[in-house]
Parts: sequence; structure tokens; C-alpha cells
Amino acid sequence: MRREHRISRPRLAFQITALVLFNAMFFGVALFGESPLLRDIYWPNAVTKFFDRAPTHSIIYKLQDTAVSEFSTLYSDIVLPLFIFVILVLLLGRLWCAWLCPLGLPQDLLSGLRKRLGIPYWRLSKTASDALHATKYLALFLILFYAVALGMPGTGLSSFRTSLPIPYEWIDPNRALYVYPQIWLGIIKPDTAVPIVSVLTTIFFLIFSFKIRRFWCHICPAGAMMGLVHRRSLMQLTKDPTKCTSCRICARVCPMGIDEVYKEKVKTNVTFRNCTHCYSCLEACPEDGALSATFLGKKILTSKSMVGYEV
Amino acid sequence: MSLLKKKERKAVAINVNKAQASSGARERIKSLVAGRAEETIANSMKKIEAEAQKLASIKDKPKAMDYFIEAANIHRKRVQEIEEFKKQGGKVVGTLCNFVPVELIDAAGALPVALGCGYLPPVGLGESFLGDPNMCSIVKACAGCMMIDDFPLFSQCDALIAPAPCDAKLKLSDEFKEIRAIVPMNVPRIKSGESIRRQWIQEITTVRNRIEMLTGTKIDKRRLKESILKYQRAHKAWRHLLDVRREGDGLWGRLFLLVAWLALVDDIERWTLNVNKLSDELEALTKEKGKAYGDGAPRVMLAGSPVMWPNWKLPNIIEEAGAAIVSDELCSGTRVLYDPVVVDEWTERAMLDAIADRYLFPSTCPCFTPNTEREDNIINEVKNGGVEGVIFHAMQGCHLHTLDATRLTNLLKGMGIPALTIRSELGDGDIGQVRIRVEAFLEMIQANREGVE
Repeated sequence: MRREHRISRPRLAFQITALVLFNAMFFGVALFGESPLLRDIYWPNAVTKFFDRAPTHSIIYKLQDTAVSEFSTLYSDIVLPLFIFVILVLLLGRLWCAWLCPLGLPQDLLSGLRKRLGIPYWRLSKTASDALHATKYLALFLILFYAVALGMPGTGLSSFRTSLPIPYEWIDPNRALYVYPQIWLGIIKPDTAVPIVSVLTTIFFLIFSFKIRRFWCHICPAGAMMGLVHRRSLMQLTKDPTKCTSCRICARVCPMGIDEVYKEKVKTNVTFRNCTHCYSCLEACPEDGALSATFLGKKILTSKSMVGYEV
Repeated sequence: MSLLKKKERKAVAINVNKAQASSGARERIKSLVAGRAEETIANSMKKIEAEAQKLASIKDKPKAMDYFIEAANIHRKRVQEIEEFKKQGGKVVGTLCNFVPVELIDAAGALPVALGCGYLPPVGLGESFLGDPNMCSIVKACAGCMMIDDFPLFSQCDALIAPAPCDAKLKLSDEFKEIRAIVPMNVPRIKSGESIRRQWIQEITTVRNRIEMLTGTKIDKRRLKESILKYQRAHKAWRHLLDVRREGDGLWGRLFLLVAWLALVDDIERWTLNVNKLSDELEALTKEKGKAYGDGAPRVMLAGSPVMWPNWKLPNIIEEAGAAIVSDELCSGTRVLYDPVVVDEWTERAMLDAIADRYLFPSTCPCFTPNTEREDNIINEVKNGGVEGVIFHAMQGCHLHTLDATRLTNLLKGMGIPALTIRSELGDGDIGQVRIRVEAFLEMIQANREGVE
């Protein structure tokens, strides 16, 4: 395989497999009904609440609706999902984002289409990139605030639940992408409500993801939550500064605009908050062993020079 | 209608600078050269032949080196080839530094030729024209070559690209702007900050536009991609040679440095082919015969001002004294094709981005501050190459290399590696002195070994 595809091609395969499984779970339940085996499948970035009986589950679901209705369900509604979320992220870091997220694949496919058409991507300046990344924490805060304020028993605000729109639905691009195909396939009722905001969000997402690499990941609230935890996960991106020639290729190929990997000259851990573990940097780095992906300290992937590959 | 018709591109010569007042450069040059042109050329070429002969007489060298030693006589084959190319309408662009993106020149169908100058005879001419005795003699030599009408390679260039990493090179383009088509390039001296990257991309774009103007050829995506791949293959071959050389200790430094110098002078595809042949032969040779330089030879690294052919004074002195130049930190040596252009997307903008990044950020030229890339490179080379001592070569008048040598000497002292600084000029006047100092240094390395044992 060509040097520049040796990681991204397998990653694409993983993404497609994950998408098929993801959809099989949904459409499977919708078509054949719930199964006692296929339920509560925790996935840290399963951010879209498709329908009530959906088998995937994530702490984000609860935050989309209300945090908790009674104290008695505090454990099962909040503590357990949160705990599982943290465990999953500590286990695989943000590998979920680049290798397994159902929203990651459409973004990468759009980028692939753009590359085929020879259209250059929108180069975000450091300031613009940082500003965009910051909005995901704002989004997370608003979602949390809404969920907690309206969900906490005893505040007297829970009556607003029915009258105020759910903010996450507004910004979730997945909704229109999934609901319409299900309507067309006759899996769900044709009059299932899709707010016009959702449709607009999906269009907005598709357009921007075409010109900006991994646009959604810059503003994803699930990414924000994972980013808070994943720097100490078992999956790490490491650098050997003695092999680095400061060529800046890693900073250039990074879809998240991280240039700290390029700048780091002393430490070996270069897993940064916004990193989605796509390993584009590792794939492009032309020095043997400069960048590596490690699991529990053991090198799984490492950068390779051009010697030994066809040019 | 005119919107639909494709714009006809004509090759336009890059104009020489027409300023308000003239310094009378042409007349001054005429009176300074005064009929000494032929003699200067002849003496310079004699020096090339002599040095090539010296290298040819090294025993047990790989057969593949014969190609490079023959190619080193640039006045024979290469000059003729370039003439042929020009007769067919090709344009030749001379580059005065490694900062010039040769992929762009190649993409426009022009021929890039590195004008690294190591000849002594033109130095006097250059100095009398420029009027500064205390400057880098490589630049003085370049100036002298540019003053002479038929000087091989120099006179064959339709345009020159002169990056300005140092004062000497900067003013070179100023002094000759009235008589030669020179495109200067701004080299940012401090690499941090986003605006610096944008500025450098702008310089690259300017160079690209001038080359397109010169050749009448639009550098489109396809041409750019082909050129980038061409030079990636050269880079790959080069890295492979470095690996094989390091593993087997099979190639003397003064032969290796010639291969490096020829990279940007010779035809790149033919060069790549022969480097691959050399690597293959070296691998086989070291399996058969073992190392070229025995365990006794002190392992030295040569760093500093470029060692330009045929100024092989320092490599010859070092290796004739029994040491081996196992590694180097020379822009005319290992660094010439060390860094690749790595492209993430084959769109025009991404390719230009990649080219721009490659020619600035990994560069270990001492013209930058802070120069951590050079420090790291030298430290890593020393560790990985088993280097026992470093010899810093600094041209007289070069502040950048002299200051770097001082700082790096102290840095290496902290690592227990001795270093020697040789401040030198082009020319053999100081051969005796240099030899004494180098031999003393090598003795010190031997003593260190015994001390350790």
C-alpha cells in the first residue's frame, strides 16, 4: 500500500464497518423490534437520540432531554452512564472520533470528494481554529445547563420541558440524515417531526464539512466531553523529539489544526485535547519512529520514512 | 470573445534592473576583467580536473563512483548538455542557495542549476568589483564567475534566483542587478509566527510567477505533481544511500560529498539512478569486503560553511590524515536532499504549501534564530553516527557560521565531544596550517579513545 494510505485506508474500513453496525442496530430495532440482547450499548459519541427505543446509549442522551426526573433514578440516569463514558474514553481515548463515529465518516467522505475534484480546503488560521474549538465547550455548557436546570427536581422549572425546544436537536446534523432515510424506507411514520432547524443544520454541516476538514469535530459537544478526559487515556500519541526534523508536515495535515505536535521538542506525550486520533500526522511524518500511537505504552503504529515505499 | 480565447503565453526575459542612475557596472567589470577571462576559466577548470583525479585515484572505491567523478568535470559533459538544452529553446535558471524551490523550476520545464562556487581564480576579480575584502570568499568567487562572459554554468543561466539568508548573498544580487536577471528572495530569519509562513509562501509564489514569465509555461497541477514526485524519488534514493553508508562505513566522506554537490548540478533523474546504483553496490561491497575505513580511523563530523567543488581542501586534509568523515552538517552535503516535500493533497495550493514548508522549516542554516533545528540535528547525528569529534568549517567573514561554531563547540563539550573550528578561505595558502591543526585534533581524539579504554 502507498505510504500515504497505509493508515487512512484501514481507518476508512473501520469507519464503514462501524457505520454499518450502528445502522444495523437502529434499523434492526426499528424493523424487527427490540431485543433483550441489543440494548444499552454504550458508545461515548452516540450523540443522536434517534428514537426512544434506540439500542445505543450515551450520557449525551440524558443531557439532551433532562438530566434526571427524580432522585431515585440519579444513579441509573446519570452516574452509571457517566462512569461508563469515562471508562470508554480512558480506554480508547478519542479513537472513537476518528475511527468509530458515525458523523466522522460523512465528513471524511466529503473531504475525499473534495480532493477528487481538486478543490483546496479552507485553511483556518490558528485564531479561527482556536475560536471554533472553543465553541464546543460553550455548546456543552448550554446543553448541561438546560438539562440540569430543567431536569433537577424541586426547581419548579420542569414544566418548561414541554414548551421549550431541546437545544441539542437544533445543532445535531445527524437527525435529518437518519430520519429521512428511515421515513423513505417506511421504517418510521412519515409524519415524524423533523424541525426545520435540524434540516438547516444538516445542510450547514454538509456545506462546511466540504470545505473545512472535520468541521463538525471542531464544534462537537461529545468531543468536548471526551477531550476533558482523554489526555490520560491508555491510547496515546507519542513523539520522539530526537527524530523530529521540524518539517511541519504534522501541523499541515492535521484536520483539527493542532500545531503543538510540531512545536513540542522536549516531552514525549503529544496527545492534545482536540486530537481525534486520526493519525494523519503519523502517516505523513517522513522520519522513522518520530511519531507513534501507543496503547498501554506499547507502539501500535509508527511513522515511516519514504525509503521502502513506492514513490 | 477574448474571454474565451486562451491567453497566449510568451516567454519574457526577466528584465535587468533599470534604475535612475547606473553604477557603471558593465564598464567596471570590463576594465577589471581586462582579458583575463580565458586564463581564469582555464585555471578553474584545471583545479577541477586535479581534484577529480585525486578522487579517481582512491583505491577500492565503488565502481558506481566513476560516474560521479566523471560528472564532476562539469566543463566536459554537463556544459555541453546545457548548451544542447538551450539550443532547443530550454531556459536555465541558476540557484545561488538551497532555499530555492527547484521543484518549481523543474515544473516549468526549465533546468535548475546550483551555482555553488569553489573556484579560487575568480575570487580576486570578485573582490575587486565588490570592494569588500572581509567577506565570504564563496560569494566573492560567485561574483567573479558572474563577471566573466563564458564561465561554465554561470554564463549559461537565463536568470538567477538569489535567496538572501546572509548579508553577503543579499548584496550579491544588488551588485549585479544591472547586468544579470536576478530574482532575490527574502528569507525570514525567525521562523515562529503565522505571518512568517504567509510571507514565505508569498516569496515562493513570486518566484513561481517569475519562472512562469521566463519560460512562458504555466505551472499547472500536473507538472507540479510530476516534479514533486521526481524530487521525492531523489530524496528517497539519498536517504537510502545515507542509511547504507552509515551501516556499512563503506564510502569515504570526500567521495560522498561529491555525490551531494552534484545533486543540484547534474540531471536529477540520472543522478537518482546512479545514487541507487551506488547504494546497491555499497551494500554488496560492505558484505564482501567489510568497512572501507577500519576501526582505527577517528570518526569525524564536518559541519559549517558549504564545501563547494572543487574546494576539497578540508575533506582531503581530514581523510588523508587517516580520519573518516562519517557524517556531516553541510548544506552542500547531507542536507541537500535530506528533507522531502510531503504532500497531503494533490491540489495546487496544498502542493505549494508543502514546497514552502519544506524549504523553510526543517532548514538547519545558521541564518535562523533560535537555531534549535541545527543543534538538534548535530546532537542526533553525533549520537546516531558514533561521531568522536566535530570539525566546524567557517569561511572567513561569515559571522553566522563562526558564531554557531562557538556555541555548538560549547554544547558538544557538555556532551564530551571535542570540536575544532577551522576558519578558512578558498585557496591553498593555509593548507599547511590547517593540516597541523587537524592532525593535532585527530591525535586528541585518539587520546580520548585510549583514555576511555
